[in-house]
Amino acid sequence: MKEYITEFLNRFFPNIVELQRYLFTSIKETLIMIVITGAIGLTLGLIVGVVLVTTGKDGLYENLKFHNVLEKIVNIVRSIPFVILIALLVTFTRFLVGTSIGVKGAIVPMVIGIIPLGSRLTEQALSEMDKGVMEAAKAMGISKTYIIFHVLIPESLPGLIRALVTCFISLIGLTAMAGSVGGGGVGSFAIRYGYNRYMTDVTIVCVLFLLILVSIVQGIGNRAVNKLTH
Amino acid sequence: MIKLQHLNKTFHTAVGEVHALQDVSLEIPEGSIFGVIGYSGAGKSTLIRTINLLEKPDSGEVIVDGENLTKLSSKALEKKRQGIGMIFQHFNLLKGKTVYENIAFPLVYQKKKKKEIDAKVKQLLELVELSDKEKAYPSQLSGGQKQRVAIARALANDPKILLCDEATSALDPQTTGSILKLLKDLNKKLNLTIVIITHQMSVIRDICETVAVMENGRVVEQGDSYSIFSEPKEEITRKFVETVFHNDDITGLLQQKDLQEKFIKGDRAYHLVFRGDNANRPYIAELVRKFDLDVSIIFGSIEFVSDKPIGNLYVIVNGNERIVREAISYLRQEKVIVLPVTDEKYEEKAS
Repeated sequence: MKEYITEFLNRFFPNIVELQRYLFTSIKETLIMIVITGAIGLTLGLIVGVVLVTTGKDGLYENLKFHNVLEKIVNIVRSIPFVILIALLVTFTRFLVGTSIGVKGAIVPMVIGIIPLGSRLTEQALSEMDKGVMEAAKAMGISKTYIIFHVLIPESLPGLIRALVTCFISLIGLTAMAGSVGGGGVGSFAIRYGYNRYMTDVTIVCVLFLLILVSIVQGIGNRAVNKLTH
Repeated sequence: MIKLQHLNKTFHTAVGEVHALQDVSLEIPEGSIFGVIGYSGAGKSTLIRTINLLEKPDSGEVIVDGENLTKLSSKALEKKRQGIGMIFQHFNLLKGKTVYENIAFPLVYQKKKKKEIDAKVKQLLELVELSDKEKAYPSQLSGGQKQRVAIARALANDPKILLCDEATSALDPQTTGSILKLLKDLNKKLNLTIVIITHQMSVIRDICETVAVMENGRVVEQGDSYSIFSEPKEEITRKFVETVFHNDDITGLLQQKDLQEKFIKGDRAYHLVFRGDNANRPYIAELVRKFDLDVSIIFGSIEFVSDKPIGNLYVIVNGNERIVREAISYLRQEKVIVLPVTDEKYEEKAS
């Protein structure tokens, strides 16, 4: 059995077999990038999203001037193509983490790139919340901060998880893009070997890996949503 | 005791200014069930929301148990709100929490002890007769059950006041009845002051002792329910009362020209209203015997308001005009309300 597999791999994925050490490193790099930027970027995105909703019209801390400024900033960052954002942030990235290439260098623009999307999706998920429920909490004499953490966010959890899944999947896309400009990870691996050296099998394996990753994230997300929807 | 003084509130909307409250003053005595009725847009929802300051009035004062709410800091207002329960048309339960967690929510916020919370929630569940549903989620409950959970949650802090914002408007008549009965029981058991906003006159009939009628942001009429039902003064109040007595059709019918043309000479239609104390006397027989008039009964109904009967009778009287007038003044002496239906309709009611 084992020989068959080895033969199969040697025949159809010769480059992968040869480069398997690099493949595993780049998978590891991709996962690290996603986890770190996911943790930092999506937390910040969530915070910005909550701020957007609560300062918006009829929000708990309505402040339309502040809301509009923040919204403009989010829109501007969001409208910059990611590849250009990386270039734009080079100095800042170097200042912050000492380098603008590799996994470390990719994380900074990725975090900044994912915040606008994260905050927008958070805002959407939170604004679907029934205003009456928050009003009921207010009528009970419950403080605004408690309402945010114990009513607004928990009640919007299914929507927030859906948003989170979408963000993670975009993040996977961003890692691949970051890879193409020296960020490391599966993206960079696919470009360097699959594209530049015409090693189609490398490209295919990279695509397969990303597909599996996306399906896993989506699957976990769907499960969580089902569990939380009553 | 809730005192509202000279409340004003204007909403600035895209289509112009809406005067939701215009110089509204009300006094709601402790332990009473007070109803506010009006069509949608009359400002009644704004009114009830000013009582716990969910809506800040532009001017005027809200005084609850001697404390002026408009002057409180936001922390003090939160504290005060804990003593005022509120329920809503759409229940506003937390969808992600069970019945138990919903009721416990205000108590958990106050960091009460687990044991204490458990005892309170169990007691409230019993009070609203939902002990078997504590683990259910709101989506698994019927409308009436959801409102019961909302009531239990509103009572978790042992409030002295319960505000009901169209609390039965989304429920079917039967469920409405059971919720109203529950509210009435709570009023008696806990000496709870209940303020009810509604557009259903039947709700007022069933449980309110006092009622205020609102139109275009003003209170146009108020009084105890029994007098409002038996002697409505404003046109809008009369319309609301007719929805309960079901006599809106008959008044319309009697006022149709072609029907009146069929009357023989001397026919006059009257709407007689009998109030509790005189509802039992045989007035019609007296009209026939004493005044020698022909009386035909067209429509009659009896409704109970605040557990006292109000009788409505539509009659056509035929006879000499002078005698008819005598008969009417006799009835009026006897405190029967006599309203001419034909021609002048209600206009000459005061005589």
